[in-house]
Amino acid sequence: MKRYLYNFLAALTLLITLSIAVAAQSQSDESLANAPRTGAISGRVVNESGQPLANVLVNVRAFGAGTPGRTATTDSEGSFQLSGLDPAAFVVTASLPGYVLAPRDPDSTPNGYYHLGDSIRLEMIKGGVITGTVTRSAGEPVVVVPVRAYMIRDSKGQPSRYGAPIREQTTDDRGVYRIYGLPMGTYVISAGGGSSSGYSVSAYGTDVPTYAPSSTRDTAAEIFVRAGEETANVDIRYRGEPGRAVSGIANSAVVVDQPPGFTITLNATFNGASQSSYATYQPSGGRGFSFYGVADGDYDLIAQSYFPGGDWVISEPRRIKVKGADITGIEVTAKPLGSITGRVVLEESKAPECKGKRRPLFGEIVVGPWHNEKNAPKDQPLFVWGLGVPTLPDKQGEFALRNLAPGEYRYNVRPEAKYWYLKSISWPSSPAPSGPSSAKATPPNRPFDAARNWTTLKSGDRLSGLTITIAEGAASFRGQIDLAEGQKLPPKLFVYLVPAEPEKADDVLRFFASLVSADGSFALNNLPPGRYWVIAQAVSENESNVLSKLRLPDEAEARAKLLHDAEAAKIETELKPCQNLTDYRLPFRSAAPTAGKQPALGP
Amino acid sequence: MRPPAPLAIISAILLCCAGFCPRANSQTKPAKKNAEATVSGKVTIKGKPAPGVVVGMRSSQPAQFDPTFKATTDQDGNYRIGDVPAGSYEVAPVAPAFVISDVNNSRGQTLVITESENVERIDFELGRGGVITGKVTDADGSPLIEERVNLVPVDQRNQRGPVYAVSSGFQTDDRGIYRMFGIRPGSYRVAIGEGTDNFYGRFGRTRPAYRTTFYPDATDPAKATVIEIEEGTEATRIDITLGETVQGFSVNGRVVDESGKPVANVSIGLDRIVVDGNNTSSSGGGTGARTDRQGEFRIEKLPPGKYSVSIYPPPDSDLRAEPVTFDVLDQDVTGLLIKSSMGASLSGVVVLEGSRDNSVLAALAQSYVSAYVREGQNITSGRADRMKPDGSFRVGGLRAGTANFSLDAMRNVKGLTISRVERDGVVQPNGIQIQNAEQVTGIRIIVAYSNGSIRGVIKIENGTMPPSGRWFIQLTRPEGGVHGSITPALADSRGHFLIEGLAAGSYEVIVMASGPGWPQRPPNAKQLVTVTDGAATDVTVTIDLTPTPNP
Repeated sequence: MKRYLYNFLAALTLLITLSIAVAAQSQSDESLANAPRTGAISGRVVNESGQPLANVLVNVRAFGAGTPGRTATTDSEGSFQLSGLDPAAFVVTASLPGYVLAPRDPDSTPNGYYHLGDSIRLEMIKGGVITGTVTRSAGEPVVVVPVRAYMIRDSKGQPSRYGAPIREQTTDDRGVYRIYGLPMGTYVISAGGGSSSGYSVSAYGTDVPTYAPSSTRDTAAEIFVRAGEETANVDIRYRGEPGRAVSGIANSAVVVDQPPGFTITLNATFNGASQSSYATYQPSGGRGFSFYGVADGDYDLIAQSYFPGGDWVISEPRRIKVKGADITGIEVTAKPLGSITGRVVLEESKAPECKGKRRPLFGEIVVGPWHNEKNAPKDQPLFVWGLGVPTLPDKQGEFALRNLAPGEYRYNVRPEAKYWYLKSISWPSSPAPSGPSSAKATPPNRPFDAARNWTTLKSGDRLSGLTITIAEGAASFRGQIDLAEGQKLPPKLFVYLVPAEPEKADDVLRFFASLVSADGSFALNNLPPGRYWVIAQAVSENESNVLSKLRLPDEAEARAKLLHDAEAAKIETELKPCQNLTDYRLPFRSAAPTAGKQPALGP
Repeated sequence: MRPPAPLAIISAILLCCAGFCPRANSQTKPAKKNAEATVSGKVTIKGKPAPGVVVGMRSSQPAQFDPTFKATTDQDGNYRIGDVPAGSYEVAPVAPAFVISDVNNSRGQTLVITESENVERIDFELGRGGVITGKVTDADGSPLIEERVNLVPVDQRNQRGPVYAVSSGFQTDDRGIYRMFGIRPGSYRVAIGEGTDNFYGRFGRTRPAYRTTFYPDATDPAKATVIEIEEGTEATRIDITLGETVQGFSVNGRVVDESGKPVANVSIGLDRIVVDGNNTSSSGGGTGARTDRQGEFRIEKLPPGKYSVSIYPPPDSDLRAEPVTFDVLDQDVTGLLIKSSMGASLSGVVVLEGSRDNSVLAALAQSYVSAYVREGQNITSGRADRMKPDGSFRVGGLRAGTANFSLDAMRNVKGLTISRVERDGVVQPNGIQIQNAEQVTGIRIIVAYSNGSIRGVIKIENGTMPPSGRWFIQLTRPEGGVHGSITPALADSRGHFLIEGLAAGSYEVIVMASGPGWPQRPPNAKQLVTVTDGAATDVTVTIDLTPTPNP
């Protein structure tokens, strides 16, 4: 069963890889003007002080392809190269025992995907360590007991998303465990429980897990781990209390093609964050599933299965109350998730200055679903949101976002060619009742702006007809911040472009934000031609994902405020089709660079 | 649970009868699974009771989700495992820092248990295992992380008692430190690195391969320092410095079809061929390499040696190719050419005969049908296809030869056998003959599910079994008709054995002695048994140990 737990975790890890891109800097630019038939992706892996890391396994995988991708190992200079790649959007990951990838700053490297010709810089840092001893009350060591580290909050204090990594090590003959290679964050540590297999007898698999220092999950000690640091003496006084068994059978609502088997998780909520506390597997044609060593408490039981074609089926959360007795006979049915299909349309420009510019390839344009976290059903474990992964359109531009849990969605799309911009995301009309709904009422039979409004997806809904228009004629805007005498650059300063044409004030796709580099330079790309207000504003250092948040449908107020501030600042610029505006000098006068200047944008 | 009294009496009578009538001693009764047994015994450490030790039981032929059983010893070291269904089990203390003192049962005991049996005195004497700990660094003094550490017994005898296998094995941590424990007393070498002939797990590795290095820094095992481990001793600072890395070379080649056109997007497999005297063995698997649009592939960092490359076509493809053998000497290998062609195929339907058992049907519905083609001495070209819901299958990409089938469901469901294979309605007892690129249709694989069993007791006369002796039980069917062999069973220390999942019919039970310590040529005995479906047949096999005069 442990193996299946790992498979489950591996699947989650994959999802994390798909949804959150790696830390890196991409320098794709003019090099793509003439897209080669095949090409290379190269790069360098360094540690936090910029020293090269050798023998790092780098994996480069075409986005959305079911293949394991290609791997390369870095040389003594930390360099790697993979050539002969067909054009696509690529996902790049790196692994080195004991190390973790530095967390990506979504504001300085907003794009998580790479393209042919990119040169990538990956930073890996030594992971954190938690170590301690597991003993019984009389002090004797508990030997070869599994000890697990669950990340509960990430380095920024946010509840961990999409199946937080669970690391497991067993104790040695002295009861000592050592879990290393941990990403920075807050953890709880447990010993024992939760596993059993027919191949070997687990001495502790039917016990309730004991959390450090010697408690149940509710009162577990929270341990903050920094990269490269060791937290020692996280000892566990093992309680060894027998847990309960929870068993039942999972079925699929789809009968045509039987799924290969089910992963079943028991999820509990602690301090507002759902944790997949137990995982088990029901093999294909199996007689059911069982959990062992379950602690008393309330859980949501969820069964899911992956079809070879790429679709998941998942059951609605079943509330289970474990109290002093085994639970048997649970029956859950996994149903298909929702989907949204549509097409990407490329709209060419007739402007003479745009002649001969490279068109983006459909295979490079990543279309990603983004769910509304504020309105998400609370009983769904976070990993459910990780199932609906970004996708690539086919050769005709058609795409399908599959495995979408019920909720509200918007879309992340990047044009991936220098002179193209994202013009609109729309439904032909409001396809109510099962279609998208909006904050405001929309007149019928008019295109429905799916960038400014959430699309509401109910359980199992299959919506079709979403049109994403990518138009030629994009401009770019580069420049430098002019500071007043004696003034310092704030740590997180953003340059914003907001639409100056009144009829565009509602167009969220004309709102842009870019982090100013330490040297005061800034660059904004893929901008629709037109008139903009330009303004620089500092945000709190804890802010991240500023552009994505600015474009959230519910942030209309924040956009209105920004527009108001920009109008007041009265700096206007006009961008012509395919214009590369450079050396722009933008004055910045910080009245009082206070933290949290834009509370509406932050969580 | 107590069995109904009449049943208990009947079994007593049957056992008596079996004892008295050794020539006509097989009897049948319904196989009831709901009368549960008890196993009990005592765990001691140096003769003193060991409290708080978990004793576990698992099936002798375990499957992933089989139930396991356990109990913890009380203050007097006694344990008692109840509610155990009849069956064949392995029993052992779960005490990874300790070793079982009895070298003949160093991994625990096999027990064949009948319904409602009360098996007592399954005792275990334990001794504290030894510990070896140290640090592994490379020539620059940097620690090697997640490097596997191997314990190599100097004395062959010690291999009978392998170290308790921790799920992840023993490997170095983020500081390069390892700690092996639960080591049986004896003489050992400690080795790290992969060597040139240890190929397993070579792929997907990020680090360079190191030549096998023995503590402290020897690549020649004869120059290794031997570590003596006694009960409970701890050998510290067994630090190993890894020396030279095995230089690897890259290999590239091309896959083409019959007309010489490139074949894109096929996975490449690689086997390492080891020639040792007259024996040639090979091992390998997928490389992660795949052909590009030009049909080209590349494999990196292969240590010198003899290899063969082959293609792993996708399951729905009919492509096949003969493996191409090559040597890596002291430079990169280029220009390998794998010529592929369309292979033969076999298609038809799988039919279950004589059972509508839902769990059998469910297991069968998910099954892969594998075809193995034999030509002369070589079995090659094994390909598989998942059955469609209507039982149909098609296995492509095969070479010419004689094909036989297997179903993976046969591994999961005891008693599922292929009773015969037909081609266009004609039974093919010796497999299906296929010609080059022939598309064979009209195959029917008839599968039977049977759950008869043989429960036996081996009775020794005129002698005793040596302490390290073992009995193996092999079944054959005099009238033939079995596809695939029945896994040999092992009798427990009491001479009990159990073979399940048998089709009705007559079988020959062959009991063979093995293990060292027999006074003469290992004895054996044969006996004919008739099995009925859904029932257990009891048999007593008598072995006469009276020395036979040499012919």
